[in-house]
Amino acid sequence: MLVIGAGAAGGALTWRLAQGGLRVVCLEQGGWIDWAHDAPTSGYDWEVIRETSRHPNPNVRCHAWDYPVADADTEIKPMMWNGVGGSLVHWGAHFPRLRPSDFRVRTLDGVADDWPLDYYELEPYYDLNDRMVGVSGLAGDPGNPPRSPRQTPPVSPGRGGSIMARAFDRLGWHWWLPDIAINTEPYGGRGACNNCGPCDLGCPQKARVSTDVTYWPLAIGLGAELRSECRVAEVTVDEHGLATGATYFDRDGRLLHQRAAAVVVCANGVGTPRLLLLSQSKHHPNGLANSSGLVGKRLMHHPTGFVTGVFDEMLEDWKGNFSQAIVCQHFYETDLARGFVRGFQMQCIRAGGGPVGTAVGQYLAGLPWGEEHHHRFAEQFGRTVSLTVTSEDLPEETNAVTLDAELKDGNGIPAPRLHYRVGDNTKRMIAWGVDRAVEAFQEAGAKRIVTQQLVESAGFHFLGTARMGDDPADSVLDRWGRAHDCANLWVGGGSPFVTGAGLNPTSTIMALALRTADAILATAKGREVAG
Amino acid sequence: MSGKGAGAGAGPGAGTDAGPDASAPGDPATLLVAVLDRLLPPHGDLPGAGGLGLAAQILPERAEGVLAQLPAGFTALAAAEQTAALAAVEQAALAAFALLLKFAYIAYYRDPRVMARIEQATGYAARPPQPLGYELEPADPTLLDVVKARAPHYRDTREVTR
Ligand SMILES: Cc1cc2nc3c(=O)[nH]c(=O)nc-3n(C[C@H](O)[C@H](O)[C@H](O)COP(=O)(O)OP(=O)(O)OC[C@H]3O[C@@H](n4cnc5c(N)ncnc54)[C@H](O)[C@@H]3O)c2cc1C
Repeated sequence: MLVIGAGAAGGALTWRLAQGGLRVVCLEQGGWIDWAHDAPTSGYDWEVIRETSRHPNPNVRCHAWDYPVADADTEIKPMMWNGVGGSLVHWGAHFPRLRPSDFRVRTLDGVADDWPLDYYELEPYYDLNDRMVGVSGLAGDPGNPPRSPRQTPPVSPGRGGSIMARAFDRLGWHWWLPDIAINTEPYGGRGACNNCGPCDLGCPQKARVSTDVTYWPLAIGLGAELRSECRVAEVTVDEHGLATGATYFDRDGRLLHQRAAAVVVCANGVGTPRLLLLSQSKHHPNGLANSSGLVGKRLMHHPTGFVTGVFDEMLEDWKGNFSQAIVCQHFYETDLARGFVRGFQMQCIRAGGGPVGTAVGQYLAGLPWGEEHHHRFAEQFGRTVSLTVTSEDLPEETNAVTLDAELKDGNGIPAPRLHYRVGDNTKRMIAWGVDRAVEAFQEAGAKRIVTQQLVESAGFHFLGTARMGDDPADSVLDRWGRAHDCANLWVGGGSPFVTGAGLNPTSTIMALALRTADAILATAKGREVAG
Repeated sequence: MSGKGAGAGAGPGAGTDAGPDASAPGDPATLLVAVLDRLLPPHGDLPGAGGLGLAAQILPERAEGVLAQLPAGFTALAAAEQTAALAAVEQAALAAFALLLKFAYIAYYRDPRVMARIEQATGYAARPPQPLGYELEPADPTLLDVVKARAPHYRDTREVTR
């Protein structure tokens, strides 16, 4: 078996395959990070590093492991990490599950498409993945299906989260303590979170989940081989159009070929369609597994509105994981009276940043220079809470990943190009959601409220670019993640998503990857999974 | 732009026919000290960013886009006039100004004297976040009382057929 990409999906899937007794090689274009010696948050320059060499946008950080992404045609800029662990090296670890309705949006709400599976089919894989990685949180949210006990207790909402929780209560809006893939107590041989804040720079305690500290050591222990700094250029096929392996550049720039009985592409929602489009052949003239023409199309993000309240009270907003204090999914389901279909979640986040981040501006605009500067710093630093409006995007074929005609990566391989405009339904949803967030901050007593209708840098979740479905004419993959057009090609990651849902995708990405691995194992053992 | 003295509110230096910095006197290092003092002026007992000696930490290429646009005699202007001249440069050369500002902020807030001041004023420790992290106060046990009391209200789909 050949797996391409050692991120969230690649790590989970490889472990499961290795556990099932298959011989797996994984090719990953980036390398490992040694958290004991290379954790930016252990040095005084951590905020400088955050703005430069560990910026989440590959076009800003321009690491040798990265490929460039042509982004002139997208309203939302790409954020990812290219190395062992994948984008989990940068992530905030908010770990919600999709809700049952997310799998049935066509039937329930008349938009987009239903998934070829439902929540309850995926539930055992959510549970398995939670046990494998460790999730902090609190079971019993009446706003979601019942959940198995969480592995470690919830993260404290802190001062800001508590203020917003009380405000939501007064407004009658449901909220809960979120599932977060961060140990609050030691779990799985990894340490506990010490609330340092900038999870996006990695976690020297290994409290925050990433596959380089969870699944990969286990997979390698079971015999899987992870070849890092090896960038795949093309998935190769035989005269019948079946996958035979992949050509790749190793760290010395040599072009090599890895043979395989089957190939699983887990290169994320941008890298996967890029690779499939690059892999053209007689049988697959428009790119591998692309007879539907949908490879790369239906790109969905979670277009994000962002509202920040600045409070008189010192909230110590630098304490605790940044991505999540509490979560409000009160406006998640469709209510057409609001003027849009589907809905959104509000993540209550601690995005104040350190002193440099406060001044330079991250989610919040930077501070003015000059006489006003010090006053504004004192007014804002440590005193903010933010609410996201994490919206559900609807799939549109014009939102797509294609190959750029000119831009190339360090190995001369064409770079992907993003084409993306926020749809009208989503814009209305965000505008309405931003008004709700303002209402919540007014209720909470914020002194100043700052709104943003669209965070340009919120391109963290790339979904839908090789969708699953039952009909080969309008989907790329079957319900297990296997390509309709190529029986020994499988895909993991955000690409298989049929719709985007209005919440963070990674617990679903990992659960799907485990389920796809079980389908591969069944196939390998001659027990074909039902179509 | 403010060259040839056309800058909005630019001071006497700009009022002369001196033009942008191509002909402006003063070495870039001195000019940068003055600029930094206006971007991040003195505060309490701390001098401005220039007075703190932070000019040396800013690579010349990150400052030159701004310095080249300053009116002649910038260093001799009164503080308010320097501010007005810089505001005009910001208008005219947005990207260059943003670059210098970003690295001025980075140098300033990375300085141990500034960090110590922030610690004193806010309690934010003047050290990296790791390895010590922070103590996050535990949640009030009653915080969940209202939401826990709600009946299940998610949209179930077990009975939904496609
Ligand atoms: C700043 C940030 C914050 C985030 N916060 C959250 C959050 O709170 N909650 C959440 O659910 N999600 C979050 N995410 C998103 C999350 O990281 C992704 O959903 C997840 O990592 C996607 O998994 P994946 O396996 O599809 O791709 P990745 O994890 O991105 O892995 C893909 C891997 O494939 C490799 N690859 C690509 N092309 C090739 C090639 N040609 N050859 C070899 N290797 C290749 C890449 O180098 C990469 O390592 C965040 C992301 C970022 C950047």
